[in-house]
Amino acid sequence: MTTRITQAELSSLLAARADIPVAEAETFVTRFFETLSSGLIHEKLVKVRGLGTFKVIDVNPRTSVNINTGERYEIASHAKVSFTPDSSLRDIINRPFAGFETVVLNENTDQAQMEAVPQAAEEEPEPLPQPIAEPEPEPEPEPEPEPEPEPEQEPEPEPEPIIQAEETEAEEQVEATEGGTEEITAPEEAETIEETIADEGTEAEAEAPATIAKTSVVQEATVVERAEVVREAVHVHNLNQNNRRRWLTNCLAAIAILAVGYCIGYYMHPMPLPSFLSQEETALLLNYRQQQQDYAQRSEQISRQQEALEQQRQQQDYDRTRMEQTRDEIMAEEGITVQGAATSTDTAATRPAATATATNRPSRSREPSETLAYPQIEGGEYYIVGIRDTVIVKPGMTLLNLAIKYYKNKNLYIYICKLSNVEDPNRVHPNQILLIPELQRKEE
Amino acid sequence: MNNKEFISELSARTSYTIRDTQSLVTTMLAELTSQLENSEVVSVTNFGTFEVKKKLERVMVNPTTGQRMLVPPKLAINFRPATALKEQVQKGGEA
Repeated sequence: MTTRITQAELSSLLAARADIPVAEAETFVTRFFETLSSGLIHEKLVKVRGLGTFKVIDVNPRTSVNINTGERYEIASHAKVSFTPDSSLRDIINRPFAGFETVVLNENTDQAQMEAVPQAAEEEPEPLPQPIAEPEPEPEPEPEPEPEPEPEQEPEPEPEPIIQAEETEAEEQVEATEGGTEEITAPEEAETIEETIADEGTEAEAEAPATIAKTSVVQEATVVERAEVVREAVHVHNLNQNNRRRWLTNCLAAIAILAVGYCIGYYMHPMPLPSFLSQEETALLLNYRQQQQDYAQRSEQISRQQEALEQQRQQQDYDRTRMEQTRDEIMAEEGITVQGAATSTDTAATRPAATATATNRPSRSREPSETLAYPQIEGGEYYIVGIRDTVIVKPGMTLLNLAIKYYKNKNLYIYICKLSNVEDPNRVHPNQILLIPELQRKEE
Repeated sequence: MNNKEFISELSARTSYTIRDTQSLVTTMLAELTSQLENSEVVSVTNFGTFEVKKKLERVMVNPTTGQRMLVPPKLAINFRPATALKEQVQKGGEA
């Protein structure tokens, strides 16, 4: 309880939950809050679903009084960070107290009377047993409950009791009908029992008095008729109710179908599919579209890689031309120094010498030519002297991670930026091609 | 900056896809929420502290009708920005 969870702990929890390496989770959490604060600073408002809204509020300057000395002093205007939690987050946090609701207090309720609130709640169930008791003795309960709720309504003018009274009325009616049906069913059972007794009697004793059987049959007939009449009445009532219910459900179903149809139409609109296709065909079509997209992406990647390769090739060409230029210059110098102003027709003699010097020269000329070939950072500690590696950015990769991987120094990411023409080091998109430079420390 | 913009910005910075970023953010916030639910304090360096505070019950008066209401106690989430964030926000306001 009330321990402090730090960023590192949060990221390790995230790593466990999302099944990613801890280092990745850590950079993710860092980036999350970095983005949040940068958005807050630049846009003054950040909304994150599931968390809430962060806002920067400007506070006007105001004067205040020092309590001890009574001196007036001004509080300068400043910006304040406000946080409003998302309603979902708020509800989750407040779950232990979710059951409570604001209660209206009457004009003259004191602290002592506050305790009376639960008592009032207890009083409510009391009127219930009365209606239960009444319909049982009398078979016709309908005239009775009508006068009853009226006296209840009168003493209590508040809106809640009226609703309660109505509820009790409804309950009474329900119970009354239930009681009625019970009474109807009860005699039936009794007669069926009688019947069975009579049957047994006829089976067991052949000499059983037929008169008793006859009278019982007559009684049965009359009672059965009555019961049937009552049952029919109940049936008709039930049927009416059933019809009404069926009508309602039909209406609801129709509305639901319309809504679903509308939704489907709405979502299908941007990507219209022929409706006469079967599900398999639509799946195939969607698959095909997906493949097309994939293919487009892949071809884009390939073209990008080709571009990068071409750049490299161009740079190499550039290097070669520079080398040749320098060699030519050297040859020219050689020609001037060795043979003077006289033009030599036997090039075979000078060529070997020139090539010999040329092979020596590149080691000396290497630095200027290559430093010119690659973009350099002015005032940096290192020269970029070649391309060490080419990296295609994968999800979760950052320039800092790469710098640490290749140079064991995260500050050297600027060289990667320079060589790969990355403008914003915070924005590296997946499948981007980065060139990792070969670095050479500058000499004094 | 709404949620969409925020997610796209974050995905640009972390080089995850937008969908992956959204799912990661959701899981992270779920973790954060569950920690807060257990009344833990979550503090992030250079950003701020998230904390759950209990607000006591109180009597509220509606100024127009004069009606008095008893507001129940509740648990509310509280965010205190770190000094670094406050300073940065102050600077951002000036610039």
